[in-house]
Amino acid sequence: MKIAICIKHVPVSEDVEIDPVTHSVRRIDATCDMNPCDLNAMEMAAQLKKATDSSIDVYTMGPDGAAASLKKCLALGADEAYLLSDRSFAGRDTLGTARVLADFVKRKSYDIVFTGAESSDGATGQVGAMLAELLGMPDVADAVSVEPDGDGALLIGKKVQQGTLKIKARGPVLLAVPFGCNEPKLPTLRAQMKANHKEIHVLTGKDCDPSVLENLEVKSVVTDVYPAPEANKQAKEITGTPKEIAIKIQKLLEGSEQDV
Amino acid sequence: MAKKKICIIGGGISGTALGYNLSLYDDAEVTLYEKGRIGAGTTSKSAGTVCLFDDSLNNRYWDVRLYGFETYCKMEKEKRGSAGFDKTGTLVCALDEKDEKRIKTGIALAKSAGYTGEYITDKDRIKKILPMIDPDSIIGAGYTADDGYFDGTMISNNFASKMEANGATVIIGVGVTDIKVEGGAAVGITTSEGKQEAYDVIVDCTGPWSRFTGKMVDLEVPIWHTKAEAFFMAPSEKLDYVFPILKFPAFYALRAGNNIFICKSHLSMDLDNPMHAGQWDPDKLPERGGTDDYFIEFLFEQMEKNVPGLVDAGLSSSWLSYRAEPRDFLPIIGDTPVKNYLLATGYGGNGVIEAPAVSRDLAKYIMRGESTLLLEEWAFSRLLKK
Repeated sequence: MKIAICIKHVPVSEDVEIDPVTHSVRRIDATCDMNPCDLNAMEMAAQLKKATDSSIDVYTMGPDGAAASLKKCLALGADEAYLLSDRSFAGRDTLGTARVLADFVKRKSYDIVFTGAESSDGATGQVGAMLAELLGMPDVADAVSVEPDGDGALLIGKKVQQGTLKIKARGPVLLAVPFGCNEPKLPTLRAQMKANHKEIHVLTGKDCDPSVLENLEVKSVVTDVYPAPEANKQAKEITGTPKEIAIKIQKLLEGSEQDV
Repeated sequence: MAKKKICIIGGGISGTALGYNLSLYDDAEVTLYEKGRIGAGTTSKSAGTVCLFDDSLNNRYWDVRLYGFETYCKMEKEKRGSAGFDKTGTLVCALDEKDEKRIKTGIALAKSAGYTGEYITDKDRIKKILPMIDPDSIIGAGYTADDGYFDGTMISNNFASKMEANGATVIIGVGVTDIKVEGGAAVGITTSEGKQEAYDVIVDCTGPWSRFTGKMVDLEVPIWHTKAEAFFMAPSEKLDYVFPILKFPAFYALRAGNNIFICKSHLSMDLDNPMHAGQWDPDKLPERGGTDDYFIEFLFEQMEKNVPGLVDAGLSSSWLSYRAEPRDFLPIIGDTPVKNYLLATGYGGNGVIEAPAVSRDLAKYIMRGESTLLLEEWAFSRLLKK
């Protein structure tokens, strides 16, 4: 089985700067790491690889620094890593990102493509579904598990309000994996050391289909950003003897007293 | 009685320990300015190991180490947990006879002060203390169960509270933006709030920021930034024994919850290697990450050879900090060519160990003009070109 995973290198610091003109995050100056739910997707891909005779290719679109997240994926079980990096790719909207990813991913006839359900910076949750459409694959949003089900079929768990829906599918299929659906393993020192020595394949605009490059016009524009309202939470010190403190906590928990 | 007005710049372990010691003199009027939060700069990234014998500080200054250790133990006695003491003990490994001699001297000094310590060559015994280690990579190890690591941030806050209780002033969230010099002497400061204050003595306790602070009085503070790259590693299984502070000449490790914290030792840094040292801006340090790939190589090489039990541990998180390091890896304490502008900086990651003894002596010098052998050896003048 041939598996692809598309990930994003995102700012992780709370102290990020927003470009006043484009209203986008200044990624160059920010501390970045792998998008949290992409780690869940990578864990799911690695488990599937273990259960089947599979290989995993990982893709990301971003600046040179995004290679750090690719190396993490290599340490977690990916076999080959592709960095899609070009000035013409920069500042694209979700559709532009999906078009570039699709152009490279479609060349290898993958059976299954993983993405995270959404990024922790943009949080649109659109790229996975757009990518599936462009690849001509069905997609399963909120895919929380996947296992081989014999004869090349896959049994996919999809999170629904009442529980988990089991879907039997055959590849090719795209799975968008939500945050927290599994416990991602940590890369070991040995695996990370090996991964750091592995080549990252860099693909630029020159490697891209010219018709894709002509079609990267930004169609969605961020017109403004504003800080979330500050939470009006306050901490209070509860004092007294252990018994008095226990009584005060009990009253707070019961809601019989607002202020202790 | 006219009081001596003293300004301390920086609220890390250096500034707060000095502030506390100065506040013990009734003729001192002390004000400490901290632009961020107390103990939240480079102090917060200190491992806080205060071991009775290791190579972090030459045995020549062993009393400095003991004074720091006992200061924090007394703090813990006053209020349990106030210095964040985790009594894990320490295993100090010897790779050659020179290491062995140093460790054995440290053990003798520790015993002289009433603590336990032993030099172990029995490989099974070493493995029993730390099952992850490869005892064949070392010729022996010094071990004591009496010491451990402390929390620099908690200690700094404790010192700050104590100095306030003694009548000193601690101003948080206000930086010093300018220092007024008249006739070759520092006479006052301007704060980030635009307030001007006159002082008799100004002490720079800003550690890795000292290069920038010194520029306010046109003083070139001869410190380099060395990279303290730290990793938190998650062993594949929960430890069922107490992981002691582990000291090798090139690195040290200690437990941090269920993880193991590992950092390159400051004495293994090469000030002429741009991967190790340079002049950077500590304000631009990322909150986490920022480590170099070369550190993974270093870590792998060291773990594979010495602590194979950690080679397949998970890399949980990492961070980068800057140590302030003079050429000879010893701090710069006391007078500078600018009159009334003093330094208590350049601890090179040893601030938690050294600040109590240094601050005790420096406070006496500021208030009474009496120097000590320690202040003479760690004076700025030693670094001036002869």
